[in-house]
Amino acid sequence: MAALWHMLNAEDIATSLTLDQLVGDRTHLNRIASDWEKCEEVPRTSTAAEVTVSMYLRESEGGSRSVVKFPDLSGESFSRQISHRTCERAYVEGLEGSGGILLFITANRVQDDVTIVDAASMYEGDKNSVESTEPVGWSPKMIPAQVQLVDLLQFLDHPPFRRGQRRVAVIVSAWDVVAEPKPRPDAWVQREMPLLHQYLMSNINVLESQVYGVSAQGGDVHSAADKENLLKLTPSKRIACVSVNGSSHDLSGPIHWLMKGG
Amino acid sequence: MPLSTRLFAEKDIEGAHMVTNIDEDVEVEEDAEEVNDVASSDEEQDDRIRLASGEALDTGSVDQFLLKRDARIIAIVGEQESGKTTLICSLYDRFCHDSFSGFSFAGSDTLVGFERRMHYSRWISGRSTPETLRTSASESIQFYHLALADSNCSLCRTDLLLSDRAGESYVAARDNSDALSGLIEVAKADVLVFLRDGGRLVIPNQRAGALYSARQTLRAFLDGGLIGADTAAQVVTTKYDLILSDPDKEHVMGHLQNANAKLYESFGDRLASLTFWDVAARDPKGILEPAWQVDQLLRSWTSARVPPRAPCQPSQLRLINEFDRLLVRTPLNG
Repeated sequence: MAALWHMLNAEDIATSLTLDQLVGDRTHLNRIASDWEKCEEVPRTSTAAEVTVSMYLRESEGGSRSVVKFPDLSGESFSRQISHRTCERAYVEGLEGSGGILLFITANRVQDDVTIVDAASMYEGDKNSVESTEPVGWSPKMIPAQVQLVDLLQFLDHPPFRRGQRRVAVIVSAWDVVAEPKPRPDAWVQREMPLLHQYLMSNINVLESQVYGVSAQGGDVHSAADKENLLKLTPSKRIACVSVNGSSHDLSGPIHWLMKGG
Repeated sequence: MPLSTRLFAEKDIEGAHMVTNIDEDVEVEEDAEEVNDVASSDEEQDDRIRLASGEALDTGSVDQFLLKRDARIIAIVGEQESGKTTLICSLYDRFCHDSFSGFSFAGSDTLVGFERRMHYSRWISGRSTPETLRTSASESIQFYHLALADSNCSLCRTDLLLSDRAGESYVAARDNSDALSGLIEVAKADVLVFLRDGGRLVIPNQRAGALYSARQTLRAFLDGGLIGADTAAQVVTTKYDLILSDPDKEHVMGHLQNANAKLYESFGDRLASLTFWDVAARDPKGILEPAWQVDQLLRSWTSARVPPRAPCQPSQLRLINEFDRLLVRTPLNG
């Protein structure tokens, strides 16, 4: 969101969408964009800091105008859907309209669905590596990320959510940490989150999806050397947005694709 | 009262035990104001909406499911520790890794239930050997849901409801025909899958018991009228990895083949089909691939001929008013 806001304001690269006008309170967006411009880690959204931001955007080609609202929800908000099996009424209302879904997955993650048989084959010959620790009981927080994501999408197929066709832009963030040679983003999802991939491919009648690999910072801002190099670049050119159509710096591409499905 | 056929709850003696999904159903059928009426007080305070539980389905929830969508009911039957839950979890586990048996995962209403059962076979549990949380005798019957899409036709979808009940119930039914009436999943099954514990076949003093349990159970189900000429029955020998690694495996396999031949001779003509399968859902040594030969079993479940469900006959319903009686004058099958 911070990188997108900077890119729209700076107009230093060609983008699918441009900023049409400034309206309303932009304090939150300006604050996070300022951090991003300095190559500093943008604070994650906490449950208390959840806001809905609005951007007045115009298509670069065609010129049609739209107001796009982004409910910037915390990760905890979605975890609570999984663990408590409840959601905010505002979340349901936010999905009433014709908008699409930006589904974020980080590429900078540990594999969380390894079975004991999988682990045994990984550590073949090194029995000490698979020695048991004290077994721990099950809790919802142990549900693997790909299962949680499928569950979140499945909720939308049942009341009280509006049923119907939706577009889902799957954003694989921290794309810069994916090892070279990098696969296509959709192939990454298929490899790393096969259950989610199958779910998306099997439900194309209600969920039309497109996968993007996004590096909003362009590299590791915790590394002094990387940060120094990143600061030398035109800020918007730090952004990488990779899709089946190729690579660009245009972070508005996924939003434009979602808008076209409305 | 919906007019469509209610498959389980009207007959099920255990149907009232679990009501966790009833609120979900209320959300499906009622408007938002009425949902608020059933919400707990703390939910009213923070204005939160209840979502589907994701747990395994009880019989009432299966009824609700079948009102919305057709599904194949696969009754997984077997004695304690024969591998019922492990077989079900192995299927889910395969789809967590990749498409399987020519199918892709298209959804599940019981993801939380699967995850709960899978826990002790996951690395995160802290165990060094995989284990499946047993279905205890105190738990009522549960169903696990898998929606599968044909890999060559993503919109060709098959929904499976896999039953899981404590083995003690099936032992009781084998021993006493009075216990048959509670086995609603067997009576309603599109495919009856009897699991024979391969682990017991390699133990000489347990082999005969393991072989004859299939025979006695099938006979009890047939003689009790629970299954019959329209039933597709399968006898599945589980934990086949233990048989393959047994020094006396030729001898064990000989016993198994003889027992299967006798089963077919005795019951083959009383059933729509009687087939025999060998699987290893989870070889702890990792010699056999995970869900070894389970792919073929899954394929058979999705391709089995399923007779159409009988529609509910109006005469079976209590017709209270003139509007209800209109039903009697309305052709139901077009």
